[in-house]
Amino acid sequence: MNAGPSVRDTGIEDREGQPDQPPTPWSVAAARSWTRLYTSGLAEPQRSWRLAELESDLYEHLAYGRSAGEDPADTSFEVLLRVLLGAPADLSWRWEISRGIRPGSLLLGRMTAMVKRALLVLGVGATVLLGVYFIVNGVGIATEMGRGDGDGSMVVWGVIEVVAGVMLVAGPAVASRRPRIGAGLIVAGTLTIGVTHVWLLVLNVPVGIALIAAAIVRSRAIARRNATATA
Amino acid sequence: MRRKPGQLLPLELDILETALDLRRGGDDEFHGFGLAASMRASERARQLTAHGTLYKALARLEGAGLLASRWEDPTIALDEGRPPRRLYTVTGAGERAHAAGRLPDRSTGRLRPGTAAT
Repeated sequence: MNAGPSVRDTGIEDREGQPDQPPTPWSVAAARSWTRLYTSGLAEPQRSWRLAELESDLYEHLAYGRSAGEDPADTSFEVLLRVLLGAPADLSWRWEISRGIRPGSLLLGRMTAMVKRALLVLGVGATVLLGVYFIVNGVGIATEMGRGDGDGSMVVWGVIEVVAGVMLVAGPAVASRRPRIGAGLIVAGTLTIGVTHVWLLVLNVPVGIALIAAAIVRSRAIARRNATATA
Repeated sequence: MRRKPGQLLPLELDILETALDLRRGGDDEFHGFGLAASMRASERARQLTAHGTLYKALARLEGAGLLASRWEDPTIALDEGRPPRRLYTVTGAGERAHAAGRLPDRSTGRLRPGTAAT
């Protein structure tokens, strides 16, 4: 294959603003912006070729619309539709290219890692906070009972809260070394607290699921690392 | 869409079919938008194929050796007052893969065994 054009060689933007050129539809500007965004940080020539190929496509599309006597608004809408419907393929193309070149050093890889880390920190933080709250609250209920202010059955609730709280705190602590035991503790804590606070299931079930997923991913990564080390 | 091993996706088959139709009509080479417009005209696609889908499929077919591409001479594009086109052509492997409906094996260049497309 011969050397492709650079980004500046496409020339279409130079022609904009000339008196004989119609104004650029906003959807064309959107297509360009989107392409610049998902190709940002890509190595050459992938980036400039994709940008140049899109410029050619947009130019041909507008020219085709004009020659066919289409309403410019229809052509513009069609361009937008092509951008939107192709966006998932654009992203997966970008992902594949990124993996093939330098995984971990490109924008998407970094963003994915950051999002994963942020979700993990949030999940662990929320679980530990809930655990601490249940321990304190459970102890509080038991203390109230000690003063003889409450109903005897409340002792059971206090104990359940303390046990659930301990499991929720211990789960994330153990998860880094023993992911399955950690996940098991979180599940057990989540279900246990559901006995006393059914409404909390709305909060701690999704958090629990997220943490279990993280634990499974981590467990697989550890297994892969161990397998590689063994090999 | 998930690909069965060695199988061409419907879009890839449509691309090859349209490209071969264009060749039979005298156009050995084609560019992305031209292909999308021809696919719509031949009713292989209801609308113009989305940018991402089209160019990813073209890249995939080129990577598999079924298409080859080159950039058009920039002076031609300049004379015609438009951006340069990336021109694709179907390779011999592409023709064979289209006839069989299957991808060639990368290591041997032979078509992978399986049911031929109808």
